[in-house]
Parts: sequence; C-alpha cells; structure tokens
Amino acid sequence: MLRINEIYAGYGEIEIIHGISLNVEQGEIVSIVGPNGSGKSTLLKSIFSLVDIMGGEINYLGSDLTATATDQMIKKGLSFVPQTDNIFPTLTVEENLELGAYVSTKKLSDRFDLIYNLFPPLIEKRKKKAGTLSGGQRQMVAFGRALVMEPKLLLLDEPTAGLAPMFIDLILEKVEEINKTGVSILMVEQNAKKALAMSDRGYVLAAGEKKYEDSGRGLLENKEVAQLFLGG
Amino acid sequence: MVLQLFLNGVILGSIIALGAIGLSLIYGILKFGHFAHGDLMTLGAYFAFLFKVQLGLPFWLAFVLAALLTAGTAILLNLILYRHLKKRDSVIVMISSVGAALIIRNLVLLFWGPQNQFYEKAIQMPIVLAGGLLRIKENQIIILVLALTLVIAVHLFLSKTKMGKAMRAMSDNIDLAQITGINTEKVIIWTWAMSGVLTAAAGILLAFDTHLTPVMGWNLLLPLFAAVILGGIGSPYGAMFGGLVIGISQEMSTLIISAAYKPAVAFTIMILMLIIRPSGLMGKKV
Repeated sequence: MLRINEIYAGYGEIEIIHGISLNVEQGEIVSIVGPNGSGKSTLLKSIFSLVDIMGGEINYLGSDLTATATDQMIKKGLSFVPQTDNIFPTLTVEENLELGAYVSTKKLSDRFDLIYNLFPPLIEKRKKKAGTLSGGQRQMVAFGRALVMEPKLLLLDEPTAGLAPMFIDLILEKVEEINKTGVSILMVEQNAKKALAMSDRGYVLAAGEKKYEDSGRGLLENKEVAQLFLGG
Repeated sequence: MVLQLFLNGVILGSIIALGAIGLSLIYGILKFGHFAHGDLMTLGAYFAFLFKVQLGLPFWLAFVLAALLTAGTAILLNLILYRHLKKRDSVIVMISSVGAALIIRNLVLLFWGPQNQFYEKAIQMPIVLAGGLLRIKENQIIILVLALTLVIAVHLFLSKTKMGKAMRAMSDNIDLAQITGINTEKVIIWTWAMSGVLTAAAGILLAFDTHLTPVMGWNLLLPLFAAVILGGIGSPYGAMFGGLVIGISQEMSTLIISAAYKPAVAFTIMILMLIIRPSGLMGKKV
C-alpha cells in the first residue's frame, strides 16, 4: 500500500536520506531500526512531507504523497504519531481526540468509545488537560488522536521513547492490538529487538542508507546485523 | 475608597483583558510580540468616533462597524506585512510591528488631530452605591457588561467551536496542528480577525470611559504585555485573568504610591513574573 522509491530527503541543504526504497503491504507491521543519527525518523517524516524531499517517489494507494496536502493524506487513511510533543498539552484528552477528527465533517464521537476501550486509563481523564498526564498516558492520547480517523496506515516515530519500562511493553502490545484490527503499521523504534520480534518485516538503516532488509525474524537471526546493530 | 479603587481596577482590568487575549494568541500562534496591538486599539476607538460622532450613527452600530473594520485592518497587516516576514526571523516580524504601530498612530494623528476627542460631551452624574462608598457612571456599567459579554463570547468560541479549538491547538503545538490536518493559514486569519475585534472593543471601551487620544493604545501596551506574561504567553484564559490582576493592582497601588507610578506597577509585576515563573500562571512550561 505504501511504496517509497529511491527517496532523498533532509533539511534545507543537508541531505540525510540517500536514496532509500521501502514498502509496506496491507496488514503488515514493518519496523525501521538502526543507530542514532541513521536517518530513521527523517525517513518516516518524509512520508508525511515534514522534511524537505530532494528526490524520489512516495506512492500511497496510488497517489503521489509528495504532492498531497496533509488534510488529504489524513482523509486517505494515513496517520502520524510524532516521537515528542505529540499531544496538545493545554487541551483536554477529549479535545485532543476531537482534533484528531479535524478534517472530518462528522464528529466521530462513536470512535472515541473504541479508543477508550483500547486505552481504559483515559476514560476517567477525558476532561483533564493532556499535559497533566503521565508519559505513558500521554502516549495513549497521542495514539488515540491518530486513531480517531480510522487510519489504514499508522506511522509511529519511536512510540516507546522516554517511557518507563512497564509502559514500553504495554505500548508495543497496543501496537499489535491496533494492527489486529486491520491497521498497517510502519514504525521507527529504538528497542530494535522487541520491535523486530513483533514485525513482519524490518529495515536496518545506517548513515542514511538501507543496509539490510528482511523479515523481522530473519534480521534478528542475522549474525552480522546482531553484531553491528543489535548489541551482539 | 478601597472598594472604589477595586471597582476602577476591574473596569481598567477588563479593558486590558480584552486587548491581551488577542496579543497572547498572536504570540502563541505566530511567535512574535505584536507591538502594533496598542495602536490597533487606538484605531478601533477612532473608527467608532468616525461612525458615532462624525457620521451620527447609534453607538452600538458604530461599535460593531469599528470592530469589523479593525479586524479587517489586522488581517490586512498580516497579509501585506507579517505573512511575508514570517519565514525569516521572529525578531524581524516584531520590529516590523513597531513600524506598523508608528504608521497607524501617525495616520490617526493625520485624520483626527492631536487633541482629545469625546464620544459624548454631556457630563454624567455617577450613581452612588453602598451609602456613598462607591460611585459608578452609567458608561462604566455599560463597559463592564460589554466586556463581560465579549469575554463569555470568546470563551464559548474557544471551547465549543472547531475553529476555537484549532486556535488553541495551534497555540499549543504548531507542528502537531499541521500533522492533524489543521489549515493553519485559515486559523491565522481567524486569529487576526478575533484579535482585531477584541482590541477595537478594548479601545472603544477605554475611550468611552475617558476620552480619545492618539497615544491611548500605545500607553496601554505595557500593561497589555504584562497581562500576557502574567497569564502565560499563548494562553487566552491566562490573558483574561492577567488583565484583571494588572488593572486591579494598578488602581489599588494608588493607596500606597502616587498615581503617576501606575505603569511602573505593571512593569514590576511583569519583571517579577519573568524572574519567578517565566511560563506564567496558566501557560505551558518553557
């Protein structure tokens, strides 16, 4: 459903991604792993046109994303959860969810119940300002906001970054749960082993280039990958 | 005496609050201090003078027309000036707003002259309340009612409408607002329109309480910024609260110090706030 072909991207004059190709098929969980500064997040952001694209193609369900406005991407079922600052802190939990449905003409209140079912701790916090929640709960709000529009493909930028260990497993479990409802997932993740273990396929990046590409299990069992990128 | 000063403070405070809401939202969304805000306030007051005194329209109609015209001016300023400079440094935008302030003030001088002007010349007898402890003019009652109505309207707009929520969202986190598909350009235009209406209302009410002079808004700019900083930059509710606190403190301070030092009170509160709690009372953490 998503095909990235030889993409070059970066910030202003600085090119960070040097010609990477990648694809995500319907129903898959795909992980992008690699050391710090390898361009994982930049690659993910390029899909949503949040960085400067210098060349290449990004095709999603038949349309060219480099020429698509953000509201249109969302309407086509693409949703992005940034790594940091991914909530509106002075707005309530409920208002955060409402803004997730901003481009929709309907209010989508029935979708809220699904999200509260997925993240029960949010129910009693719905009238609280999102900025007052714990790190794990904020992440739930961020996921919730991205899920209101019933996305077909969810882009997650390091969903467990900065979370307490107990929340890391919880959030990754939720990612699998979301995937089981038919949402394809493309995520960048620091916890490479955990991410690859739950992924259908994975990509290993280094210095803005694609080094390996295989099934999640294949990459975990690859001795070279393990030694170079997964800490032995 | 104390009660009277408190009442005067509430009147001044609600006027400051009206101006500060827009200033705070502009700071939150466009990330620059809008130094022409005070002069936009003056312009709104003079527009109302044009409609009410020079063209003889009823006060309410002059109020509405002046507010709309000021909103239009604010949108125009954004279109021809701030929008182009936004891509550069926010300091450049800020300095350009100082330029805009000078242009507006001198246009007001050119069209309406330097002398004080009045919406009405008749002398009003104050209503005496609480056994002579409190005196309030009919105009001041109208000011309080109008200011309260506008603040409630702003609250309903920000908390109930889609555009209001988008405005708060953008002030909270611009990047996420874009990712959410919010049409940021449209929100910016609405922000200028709302700020224009509110700042015109503040100017008209201030002139309604006293008189019109070309420097009335410029003189109020410092208390406006103090209110914004006290409440927390980018927080419209903080600005309302900050406006009231600044207005009341300025008036009450005359119990202890000379009235000539009123602006120093706003300045002192602003500096103390910046040292102790730079995020303001209701702002997000910096």
